[in-house]
Amino acid sequence: MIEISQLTKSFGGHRTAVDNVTAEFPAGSVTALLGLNGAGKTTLLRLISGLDRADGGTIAVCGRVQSRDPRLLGVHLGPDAMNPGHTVRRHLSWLAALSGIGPARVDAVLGETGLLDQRTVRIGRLSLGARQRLAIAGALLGEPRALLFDEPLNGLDIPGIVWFRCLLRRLAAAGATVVIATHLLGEVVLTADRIALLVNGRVRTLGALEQLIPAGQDTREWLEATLLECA
Amino acid sequence: MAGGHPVGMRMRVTPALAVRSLHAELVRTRGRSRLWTVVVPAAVAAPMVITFGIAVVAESFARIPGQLSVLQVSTSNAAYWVITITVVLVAVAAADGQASDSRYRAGEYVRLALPRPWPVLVGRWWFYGMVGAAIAVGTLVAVLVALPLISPLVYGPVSVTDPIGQRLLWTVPVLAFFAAGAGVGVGALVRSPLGAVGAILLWTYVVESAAGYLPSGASLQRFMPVLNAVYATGQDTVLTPPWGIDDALLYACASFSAIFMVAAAERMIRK
Repeated sequence: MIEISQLTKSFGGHRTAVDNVTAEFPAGSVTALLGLNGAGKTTLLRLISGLDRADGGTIAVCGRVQSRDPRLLGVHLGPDAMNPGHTVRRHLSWLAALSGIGPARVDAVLGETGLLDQRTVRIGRLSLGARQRLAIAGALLGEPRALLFDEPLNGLDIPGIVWFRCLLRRLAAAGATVVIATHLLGEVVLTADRIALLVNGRVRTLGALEQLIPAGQDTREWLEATLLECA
Repeated sequence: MAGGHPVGMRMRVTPALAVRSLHAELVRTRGRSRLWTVVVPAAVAAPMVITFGIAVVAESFARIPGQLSVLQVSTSNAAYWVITITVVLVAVAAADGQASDSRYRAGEYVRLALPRPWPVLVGRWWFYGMVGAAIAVGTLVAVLVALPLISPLVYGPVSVTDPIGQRLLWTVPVLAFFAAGAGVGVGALVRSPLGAVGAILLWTYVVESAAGYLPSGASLQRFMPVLNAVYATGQDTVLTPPWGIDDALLYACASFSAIFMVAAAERMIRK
């Protein structure tokens, strides 16, 4: 479980990107972090990961305030955060070495993400979808109990999207806490149990989809209408 | 708790994290990296090419018939290029490795895995320091052994086993190790690989020499770290520092370490 309380972050002292956010992301569930561009989704994920420092508030991942342990929290940094001159395998080996994870796990993750055949290919020659898989592989490396994904579907082809959908459901079924920031409402409907809707850095709606959607209303349509209200 | 994560509360002790950083740098630079394809070959080959080139020319002059005398070169004047090129390129390698953190958001992965900057920097210092010390010793031995063979008339007295040779054998790797620390420090402060490498080369080959042209420049030059490093090995120098060779070694190592410490402190404050 990820618990955040009264989390606040402002940039330059005037723009508050995350404004007094309190939320719980339970174990064994996939929570979709929704919101328009600039709503604070990425900032919130970076605060939870520890990459950015909050101005105030608390964060606990699986009951621990120190979450920067790859066995506790896996963070997806996106397909651009990698050296194009490195091979797929070297990138993951480097991440494993940084995190104190054994090399055997590198091969396992290459298999899990379908990158085994491309392990000797330089990252600069990979498609966006393959780099996205590699970024996801980086998050999975430590077999973490909680995972943060920021727009992980960008660039994935149809098999990739289906694979990622299954991965999320499998992770949640195994008891992991999964938080995914995305704009793809169709995928939210298919994979998420819960949503957290951010508007101007504040949580406007938080909870299980089955409880939030009015009876008889289509989930996707409701999500779309709710987001359009925020625009 | 305000301000996010209380970093380091449950992390393992720093030496283990520094070893992890060292191992990660080894993995990162493995294979066809700039370290092994450009910097290390240059650090080994450049001083050898220059030293042996000079030796071949000197030997050919010495063998011109009718020479009344030949000025022989001792061990104390045989390793200048190893000290000023190999050791400086070790610092360049370390600066490039450290500054690469700012490319491709690599630093974010590092911060996720190793939140505290100290172990990261120390691990990289150890890595480049050990690599640098090893190539410095190898290059030095090759130069001191080969010189009397290439140029027996001029460089005949050069020996790896005489007192100066023995001093070179331990001081040059020590200086290479500490130069790596300075390199990591410069890389952490400048953050651009090109800028960090440029700053080291500019300081070593331009600023330390150009300082002599300033008013009282000769006095100022005696405190320059690289000049002190060269002097500390037992190598002949035109200018001498205001202290003995052991003090010069301490001064050079302390100067190199100070750059590292400033960079580490800056990282801690910025964090």
